Amino acid sequence: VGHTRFVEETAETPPGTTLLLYTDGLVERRREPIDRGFERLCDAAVAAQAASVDDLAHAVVSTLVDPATQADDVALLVLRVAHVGAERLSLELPAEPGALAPLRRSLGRYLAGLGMSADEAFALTVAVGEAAANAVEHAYGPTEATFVVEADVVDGEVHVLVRDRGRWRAPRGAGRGRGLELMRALTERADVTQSDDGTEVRLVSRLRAEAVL
Amino acid sequence: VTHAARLTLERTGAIAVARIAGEVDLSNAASLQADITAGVTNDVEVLVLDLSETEYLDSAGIRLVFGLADAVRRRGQALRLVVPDGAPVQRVLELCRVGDVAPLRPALDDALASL
Repeated sequence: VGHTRFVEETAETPPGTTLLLYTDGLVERRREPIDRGFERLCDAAVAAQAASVDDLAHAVVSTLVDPATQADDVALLVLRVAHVGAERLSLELPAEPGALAPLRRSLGRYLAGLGMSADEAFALTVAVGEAAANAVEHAYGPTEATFVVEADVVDGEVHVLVRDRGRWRAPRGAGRGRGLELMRALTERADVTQSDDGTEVRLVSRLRAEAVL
Repeated sequence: VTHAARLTLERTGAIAVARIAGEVDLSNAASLQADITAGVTNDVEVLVLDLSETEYLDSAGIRLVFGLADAVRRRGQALRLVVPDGAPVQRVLELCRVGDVAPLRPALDDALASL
């Protein structure tokens, strides 16, 4: 039995930090310095950092582990420090259809940072997409219109607000009511509030603590 | 205008397959529907809309599906959808009862075999 020395280190883990714990089988390969394995792991983890912890774990394993040649066993634990209300998302976007895809990107990164699973994040993203599409479709006035999307965590729930300065239009034509129907089906709560200043849609989804093996 | 989705139209005999890869929203749903409708000629009997590679779809995409179903029905043609089990868009399609106008199949082979 060789002589082993353990070193104690401290690192800050602000909200959104992802921590990977693993056994040496993940990085060690025969006839190769272990630094190469560390590099591979860092590259794979950084490439998948925007993904949920679930997807990140799968991405790391599928990049680093070749079942055909793997000699040692591998265990990987991915943890992400949840946002505790301090971190918010706040966006002001032009009220045009081209803004919808970038909005989904930003929201996706934010929700992944909260540790939301891909399925849960997708459901909320569609709901937010519906509210945003409504703001875009009913953009108002001759000047360039914008709408605002804010997301925050309140008591273990994600609240997403979509605000514009237009009026929520009663859906017209075949199939136009589906947006609201989808928002209600895909969230815990969906509330549309009208005022003289505009329309505010509040969408709420529950956030679960998550750790994946 | 950026297009979040790529459309491929293929033709095998009386079957036309329209494949949408990427994301469908308000920015591209209407033009995708127009492109698909324009690509389906009268001699097509069945249009298969393959959503296997569709990563995002909201009510704009649902309007596209119902719009296509309506268009092909008026021409005496049929519409089938390919939606793999567990696909992200599956839940949205089911919530909107898209199956009422076009049968959903998990793979292209199943959609073609059921004809």
